[in-house]
Amino acid sequence: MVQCNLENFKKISKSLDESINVKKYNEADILKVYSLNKTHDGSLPGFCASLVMLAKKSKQLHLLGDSPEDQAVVRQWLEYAVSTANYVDVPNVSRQVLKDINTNLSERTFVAGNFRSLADIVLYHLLHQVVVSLTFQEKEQFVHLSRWYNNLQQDGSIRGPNPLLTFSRTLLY
Amino acid sequence: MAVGDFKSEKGVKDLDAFLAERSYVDGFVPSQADICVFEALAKAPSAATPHALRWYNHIKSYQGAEKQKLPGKKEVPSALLKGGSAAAPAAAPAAAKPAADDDDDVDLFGSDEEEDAEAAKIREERLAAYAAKKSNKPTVIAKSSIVLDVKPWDDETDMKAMEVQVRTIAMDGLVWGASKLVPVGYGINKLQIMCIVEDDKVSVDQLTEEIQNFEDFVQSVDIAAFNKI
Repeated sequence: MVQCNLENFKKISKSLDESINVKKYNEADILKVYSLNKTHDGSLPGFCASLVMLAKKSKQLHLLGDSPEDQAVVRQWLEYAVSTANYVDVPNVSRQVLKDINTNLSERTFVAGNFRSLADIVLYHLLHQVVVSLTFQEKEQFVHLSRWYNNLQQDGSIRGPNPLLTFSRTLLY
Repeated sequence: MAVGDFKSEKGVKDLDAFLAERSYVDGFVPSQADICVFEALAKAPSAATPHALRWYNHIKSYQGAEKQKLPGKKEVPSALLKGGSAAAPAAAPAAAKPAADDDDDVDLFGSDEEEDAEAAKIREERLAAYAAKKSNKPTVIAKSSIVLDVKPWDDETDMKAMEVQVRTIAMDGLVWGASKLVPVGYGINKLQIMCIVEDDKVSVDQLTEEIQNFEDFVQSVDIAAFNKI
C-alpha cells in the first residue's frame, strides 16, 4: 500500500484548485511515477509531475518557489515524497520519514523554507494516515513536525475532508 | 512579563517554549504580532533555543513592503504573555497558573476523549474486518451417517416394496445410501438402510416418524448406528 495513490492525488488536487474535476484522473495517470521519459499531449504522467502541472495551471506558481534555489528545494521534497514518504505506512519507514521531516523542520517553518509550497501540501496528505495514529507522546517526540502539521491543517483548503487533529503539549509527562 | 523581557535570556527561553508548538506568535499565519516580538528581540536567538531561532529566521525573511502588508495589530498577543510565563518552570507552578493553563486542562480531557473515540473506532473497524473474514470462510457443514433398522410386521411383508416406499422420502439434506436385508429369524428379514443427513436440515426423529408412517409395511424403526462425519 503506497500513499501516492489516487485518493491522495485527488485530495491534493482539490487543495490546489477547488474547481478541478478529479474524476478524469485514473490510476494509470499517477502510478507511472518513474516513467517520466514519455510525454504525450504535452502532459507528464506521474504523481508529482501531474501535481506540478496542476499548480501551474491553477496559477499558483508561488507553490513551486520563486527563486531557482527555492524551486530546487521544492522539487527535491516532492521527489522525497514519491520515493520515501510514499511508503510511510510501513512501520520502519514511518519512523524514519517522521524523523527526517522533523529534523528538516527544526530550522524551517515549512519544509522548503519560509514559504508554503506544493511539497507541504503533498506531505500533509501523504502523512495524514500516520499522524492520525500517533499518540500524544509521539507527537511530542516530533515536536517540529507537529507544529508544522498543526499549522497546515488550519487551512481548510489544504485539509480538505480530513479531520482536524489535536496537538497538545501538556508537559505532564 | 513585559515586552522588554524578550531582551533577557529568560525571555527568549519563554518565547522558545511558546513557539515549540506554534509556527507563529499569534494564530496560524504571520502577522504584525510576529513583527512586534521580532523587533523586541535584541539579537537573533542562539542555537540553544531552536524554536525561537527557526521562527526568527522565518520572520526575518519578510522584508520591506511584505512586512508592512502582514495583517493584525502590532502588539504582543496576550496568549504569549500568559503562555510564556506558564511554560517557564515557575517556582510555584500550581499557584501561578494563569488562564492559558485552563485551556491546557480542557485540552487534556478533550484529547483523552478523542483518543478513546479513535481507539473505539479502530476496534470497531477491526471487529468488522474480523466478522467479514469469518463470514467469508466456508462454514463446515455437520453431517451424520445413520444406519436405520426398519422392521416389517411379519414374513409376508413385501420387503422390496417397503424399501421402495422408504426411498421415496425426500428431504433437503437427506441422501439415501446402500441397503440390505438382514434375517431376524422365522423367515423374517429386517431392512438395514444407510443414509447421510445434514444435521442442521434433517431431524432424525422426523425421519423415523416418516418411515413409520408407512403403516402397511413398517412395524418399527430403530437407529442401528449414528456416526458424525
